[in-house]
This record gives sequence, C-alpha cells and structure tokens, in this order.
Amino acid sequence: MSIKFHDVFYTYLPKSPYEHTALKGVSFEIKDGEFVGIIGHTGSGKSTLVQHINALLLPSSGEIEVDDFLIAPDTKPKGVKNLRKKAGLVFQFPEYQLFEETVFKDIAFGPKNFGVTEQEIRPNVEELMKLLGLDLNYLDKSPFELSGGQKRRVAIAGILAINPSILVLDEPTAGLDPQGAVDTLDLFKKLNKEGKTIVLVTHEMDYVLQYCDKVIVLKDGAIEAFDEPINIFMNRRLLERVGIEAPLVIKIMQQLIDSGMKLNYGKIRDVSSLVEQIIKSRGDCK
Amino acid sequence: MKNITLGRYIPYDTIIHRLDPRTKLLGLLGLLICVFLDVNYLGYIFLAIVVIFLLKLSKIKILSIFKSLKPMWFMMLFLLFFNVILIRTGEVAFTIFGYSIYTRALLQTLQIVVRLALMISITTILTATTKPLDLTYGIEYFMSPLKIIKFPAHEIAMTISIALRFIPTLLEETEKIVKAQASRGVDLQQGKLKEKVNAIISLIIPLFISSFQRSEELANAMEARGYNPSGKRTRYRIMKFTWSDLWAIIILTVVIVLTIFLINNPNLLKGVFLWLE
Ligand SMILES: Nc1ncnc2c1ncn2[C@@H]1O[C@H](COP(=O)(O)OP(=O)(O)OP(=O)(O)O)[C@@H](O)[C@H]1O
Ligand SMILES: [Mg+2]
Repeated sequence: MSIKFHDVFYTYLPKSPYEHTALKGVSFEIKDGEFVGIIGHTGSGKSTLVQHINALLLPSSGEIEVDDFLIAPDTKPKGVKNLRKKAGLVFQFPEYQLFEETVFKDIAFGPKNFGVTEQEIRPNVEELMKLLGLDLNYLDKSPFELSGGQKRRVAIAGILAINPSILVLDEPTAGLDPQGAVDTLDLFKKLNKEGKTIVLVTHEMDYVLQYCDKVIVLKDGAIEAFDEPINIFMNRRLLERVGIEAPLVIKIMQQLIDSGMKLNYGKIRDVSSLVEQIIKSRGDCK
Repeated sequence: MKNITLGRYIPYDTIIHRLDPRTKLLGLLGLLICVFLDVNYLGYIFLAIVVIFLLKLSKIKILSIFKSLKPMWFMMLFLLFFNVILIRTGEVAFTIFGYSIYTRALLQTLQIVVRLALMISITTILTATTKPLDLTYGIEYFMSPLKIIKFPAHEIAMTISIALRFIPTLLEETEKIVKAQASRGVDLQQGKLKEKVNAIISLIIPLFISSFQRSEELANAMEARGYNPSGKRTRYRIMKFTWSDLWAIIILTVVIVLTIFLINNPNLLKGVFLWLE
C-alpha cells in the first residue's frame, strides 16, 4: 500500500474572501511498510495533507494514488468506502467522535460499518483495549464517563479495530501523559513491524527521531525536505528556516561533535543509543 | 458545509458595509414591511429593482445564496405545488390531466415566490454587510428604551451575540465530526434508511455533547472574569451616525413612500414611463 502525491494543490473556500491555499504543489511517495513523520509549523498544512489520503478532502488540482485508488479533483473516487477501510485516519482530538452507549459499541462501530458484526469483532476489541492499556472493565461503561486520555485511547482503538493497512495519525499523543504517549507510539511501531504503513503528524521531535524512518518537512503548504530524521535534524539551516527545534539528544550530540568527539551519528535515535555511541568512542580510553 | 453563505458576514468594504448597524436595521425593517404590504406587481418590480441595486452595491452574489439554499428547494417546490393545485378561486387558467388550474392560484404562488426571494435577499444584505457584534449592538440600542420597564435588553443582546458567534464554530465542529465518522465508514449520502438514521445519530450526539461542553466552558470563563450582566460597561467600538447614514435613511424613506404610493396609484409608474418616453 504505497501513497503517492503528484503536484497536489488544495484551496479552502475558493473564490470567496476567505480563500486560502493550504497545499501548494506537494509531491512525494511513501512506500509500503514505511513509518513516515510529517512535521512543520502550526498552519503549515499537515492536517490538510493527511486528509487527502482517505479522500476526506479532494485536491483542487493534482492527484493522489493510494494503492489502486486514484484520488483526483472534483469527483469522489470509486469505492471510497473501501479506500477508507484500507487507510484509517485518527484525527487530532479524536475523542470528538465518540457517541455510542458503551465503549465496546463505540470501538465496534467502525468495523460494523464495514460489514463486520459485533460478535466477530469482540476478541479484537478486547485485544486492542489491552494493547492500549485500557482496563477491560470499561467495555460496558459509557465512553463519556472516561477521562480525556482514556477517551483518546478508545477513539484510537475505534480506528485500529477496522484493521487498515495504512494508518494515518494526526497528533495522536497531544495531551496524553508521557508514559501513555510512549506506549501508544510503541504500539504503532509494533503494527508497523507487522507490515502496516504509518503516517504520523506530530510536534514532538523526539518521537520523530525515535520512531520514524523518514520525515516530510512542510512549510507554508510546500515540502521543504523529505529525508531520514537524522539528516533533517543535523541540518541546522533547514531547522532554522522552518522554525523547528532539534530534539535534545541531537543538541547534546552536536555539542559533543563540535567539541571534538567522534561519534557515528547515523545510529543515534534516543538517549540510550547516544550513550552507547559515546561509550564506543571513548572505548579506547577505558 | 463550508459553502454556507446564508447569513454569513462577508468582509468587503462597501458603502453598505460602512453604514451604521442601526441604519441597516431600520432599513431592513422598512423594506420587509414593504414586501409584506399587499403591493401590486408594479410595486414588486420597483422593490426588486431597489433590492438588486443594493445587492450590487454590497457586492453580494445573489445566485450563490440561492444555490446554498439547495437543501430547501425540495420542500419549497412541494409547498408551491400544493398551493397551485389547492387554491380554487378566480378563473380557470388552463386544464391539465382533466384538473383545472386557477389564475388566482398561479398569481398567489408567484407572489409567494417573489416575496420569499426578496425577503431572503434583504436579510442577506443585512447579515452579509454587518458584523454579528455590530448587529447586536444595534439591536441592543433599539431595545434599550425598554430597560425602563425592566426588560433585560443587554442580556438579550449578549445572548444573541453569543449565539451568532457560535454558528461558525458549530459548523466547523460539524464538519470535523462528519469527517471523523466518515473515516469510520459512515456514509451520509448512500445506504438504507436505517443506516442513514444511524449515520445522523453518530453526528448529532457528539455535536450536542461538544456544544454543552463549550457553553459550560464559556459560562465558567465569563464568571472567572467577573462578568456581571447588570453591570455598567463601556464599549470598544462606538457606533457613529454619519452623513451617509442620513442619506441612506432619506433614500429609504423615499423608497418606502413610493412603494406605498404605488399601491394606491398603480398608474403612477406607467405615467412616469410614458413621460420619460
Ligand atoms: N476548514 C478550513 N477552512 C479554511 N481554512 C482552513 C481550514 N482548515 C485549515 N485551514 C487553513 O489552512 C492552513 C493549514 O491548516 P492545517 O490544519 O492543515 O495546519 P496544520 O499544519 O495541521 O496545523 P496544526 O499544527 O496547528 O494542526 C491554515 O492556515 C488554516 O488556517
Ligand atoms: Mg493539524
């Protein structure tokens, strides 16, 4: 399931005084099984971009290929429902979408729309709840009795239950507690290892470095860079231009390199891998 | 969802936009009264010309407004259809499938259509050229004499302005929820009746919940900042009556007087045309 954007433009409210072009000629390709991050300043068009992947928005010009589906201006692609089964999108603040009487019913709502009965989906729902760290006692509670973080998890489970091959996540961890955020991302990584393509929009650069294979950097609706996280974060001029701060790990590493330490920085993704490289380079002194 | 132009403020900078909201409110009222007086066809032509001129002045594309009313067309046609076949006075205009249609029915239906079109256009001129807040200031101004009899003019104006303020927010929210549920396979356009009902429920419940949440948050925020409905307050923007307002009112008065005059002297306009020739 690859995703290809060909010179995509998108204009909100065209031909009105509120007209705003949010995407300006975006082209890229995400290959099957990749874990790709999308970063950029607020208002740079990240949410607009990802909503094209399951045809919630249709491009003003240009086209998008998602597997066999072709998303072009004006008309909804054929079999848009199948597309939405294959490409699941978790929105920014997805807890808005909860409405059923019980948590179980809400998670089973998506699969039901795609023709899977509640009985069939029951084991999956329980499994998902465990994976997302939700107590099974909640199954028969109303989703509105849950805390914000729990609601978020139920909403994410509601999309995962559809079992899409492409998973698009728009800031899924904003507002989650740190441990919850890491757990959720670990789950996405696990799903990615099982073959799902993951697209993650986020403002957390640490996660980008740690989890993503590649990063798309957006600025004012255009792609500024598309590369591996480490190359993006080592490019100080690029970061300055798009107004992004490198993760702390990278900053420490850069200072170490500037002060003469030899580090194999290609392998650094988080604190422990940084420490590992430091120990390696100091190995001789031991 | 995004194309809803009805009742929305459109930020241009025209003469009409710059008028005092009080002038525009008076104008709206005057013109609406004219539309609902039983004017004859000459009166309607005259009013239509005035309204079209105002639309042009305020840069409103009237066609886009009627397009945005598409969801209501069906109901309208339905009502008009019954109006045509159920009124049975006047002469028989023509017979179709052995059923006679009367002239009075046709004329009256035409009158309804014209009145509706004029009404929608006139209210749109007001809402499209006046910021919601200015509008409520205007309303509050006209209601304030009632304060003497303990009528809560300010509170009502505040309620209206909050309601107006939240219309775009609600629309945005609806759009967001529609998209979120569409991602879960909800299809609002196709499907059986039962599926459609379910689809609508999946929109309405989240919408209600977030509206309640929002109003509670707003109430708390207002209270936290010490809002007191009966307090005396100053205003950021002060309404100013200018020369153009005076002109607008004079012109409007002339229009209204002319319309009423036309009702009583239907031959007047004809006379004017003849004289012009
Ligand atoms: N429904 C809409 N109508 C009009 N303009 C919109 C709409 N949604 C977004 N925009 C505009 O499009 C631009 C891109 O918005 P988008 O939501 O894609 O940004 P983003 O990168 O996701 O930002 P954030 O990081 O804050 O979520 C913004 O300038 C925004 O004002
Ligand atoms: Mg966003």
